Amino acid sequence: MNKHFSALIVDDEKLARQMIREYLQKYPHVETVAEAANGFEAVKAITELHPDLIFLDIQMPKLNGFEVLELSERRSGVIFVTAYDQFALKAFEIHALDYLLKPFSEERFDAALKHALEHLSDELPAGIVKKTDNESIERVLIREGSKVHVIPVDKIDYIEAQDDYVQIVADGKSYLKQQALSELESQLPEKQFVRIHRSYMVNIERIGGIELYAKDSRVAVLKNGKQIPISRGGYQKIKKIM
Amino acid sequence: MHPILSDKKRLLLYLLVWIGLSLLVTMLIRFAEDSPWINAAAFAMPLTMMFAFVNLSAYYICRAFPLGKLKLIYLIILLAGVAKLTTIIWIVIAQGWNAVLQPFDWSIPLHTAALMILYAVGMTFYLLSLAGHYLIITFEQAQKAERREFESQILAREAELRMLRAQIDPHFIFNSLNSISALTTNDPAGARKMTLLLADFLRQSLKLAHERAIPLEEEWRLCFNFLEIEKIRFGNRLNIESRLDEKAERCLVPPMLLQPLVENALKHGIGQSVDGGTIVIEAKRHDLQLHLSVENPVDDVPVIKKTGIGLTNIQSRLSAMYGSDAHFRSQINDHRYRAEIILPVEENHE
Repeated sequence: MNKHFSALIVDDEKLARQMIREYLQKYPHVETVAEAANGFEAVKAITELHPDLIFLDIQMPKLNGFEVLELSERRSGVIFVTAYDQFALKAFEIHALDYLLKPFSEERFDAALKHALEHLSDELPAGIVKKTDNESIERVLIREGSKVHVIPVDKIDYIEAQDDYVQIVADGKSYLKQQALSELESQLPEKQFVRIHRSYMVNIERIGGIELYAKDSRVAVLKNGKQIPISRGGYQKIKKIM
Repeated sequence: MHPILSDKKRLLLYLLVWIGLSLLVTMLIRFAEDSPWINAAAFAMPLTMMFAFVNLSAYYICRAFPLGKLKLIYLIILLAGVAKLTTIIWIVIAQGWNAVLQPFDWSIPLHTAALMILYAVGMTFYLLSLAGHYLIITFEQAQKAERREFESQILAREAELRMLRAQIDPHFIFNSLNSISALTTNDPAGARKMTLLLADFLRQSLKLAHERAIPLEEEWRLCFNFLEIEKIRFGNRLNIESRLDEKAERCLVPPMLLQPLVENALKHGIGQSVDGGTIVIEAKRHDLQLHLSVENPVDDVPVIKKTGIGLTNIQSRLSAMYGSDAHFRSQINDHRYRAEIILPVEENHE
């Protein structure tokens, strides 16, 4: 093997990073290009350095391991390293190469690395983390270059579809995220967010009232005065909820 | 066991009532037969007192034919039959007794009127006795059921308390073992130190978990043992400030009450923040109240809401042990989370 690989180690505990670095020492063709101690650093390192391999902790400050992958849109070359076994299923659903449970032996690490290097070039099924269970997300993550915004779903007023993007309006600010509205719809809590129009989804807690705008067409008036069109199907949905 | 025979006080009371009844029977006989007082008493009193004991047998009848098992009409016929039979036997004995009394000149004529009285008295007393015994049995059963209910409630609560007893987060153990594993190559002495700390912590928490209440200083030591381990894991990210009021040291607290708060502060406070921060642990005594508090920094990135099983657990334990005398409250102020427990002071008077 004369091909070289780059590796990123993400863990908020220094000792844990140190051990992976140590285990990697006997592989001269695998170079540790960076270490990250939290989610933000990890996203930055992944988008800037594009490492071949990522050793990724799950419970970390700022962002968890899954959120790091979502934001950096990275799927390949991921080996999770965690003390929690309950995320294993989710890890394999997003095609992680392996899942190391802390503490682990050097043999186990070697096996994971060997398997990982052999499968690095495998084609991965495209796609973003889908809502795999009934859990809905509690915060929406948006990346602008290397800057990351974390928006709690409670803060969102409404969301508007714009071509390949969605515009999320929260706390008077608006953010663009590259995602389909229907996908975001499936991730957000369905009791709180209603698709009232092909291009609009609204936080029902923000609705001040519904007004008849013309014959057969209505608008939702938000508490801050903003008006959002309601389609006929959307009106049926919102009538059922409110 | 017979409810009256087995209890001396009850038996005495029962016999006192029967002495009254035997005086009544004596009076009835005296006027029905117009015999002298002494004769009526000699005849009626021993006879009635004997009947007192015969009547106790009603208990076994009641036990053999519990209410609701037989159709009511059959039960009435049966009980009337038993009462009649018993009364007739009693009257035969009465006649015998009268014969015994004759040589002493204490007997009575024992005409139809007296026999009628004996029959009426016998039937009435025996039927009343049956009714009384049914009442006693029903009452005892209700009491027993109540006690069983109460006992099962206590058992359920104890089981709940055992369950609620805060358990150590296994991930803490796995993460610590991982740190030990990491230390072994570069810092064997550090690895050994951490192993010993972890062993100490586990041994202490296992021991304390069996106690109902422990002095606060012991819980305090457990928390600091825990913090020392976390200090190795988190390094400079973790700073600790603590104040333990001297008057609070000896107060008794349920074991593993403060530790989960410290653990939460580590997990959600220090563990979620990049630069870490300072945890402030305080124990103060205000007269008859003990105030325990743990404070930790909160990161500015909105944290995913936790269901807080640990905190609900603390609340249920407090209310199970102290009712409304203990409180738990938490608040976030200026990027600091503060959890506080207030509980009544209990001291060891050894």
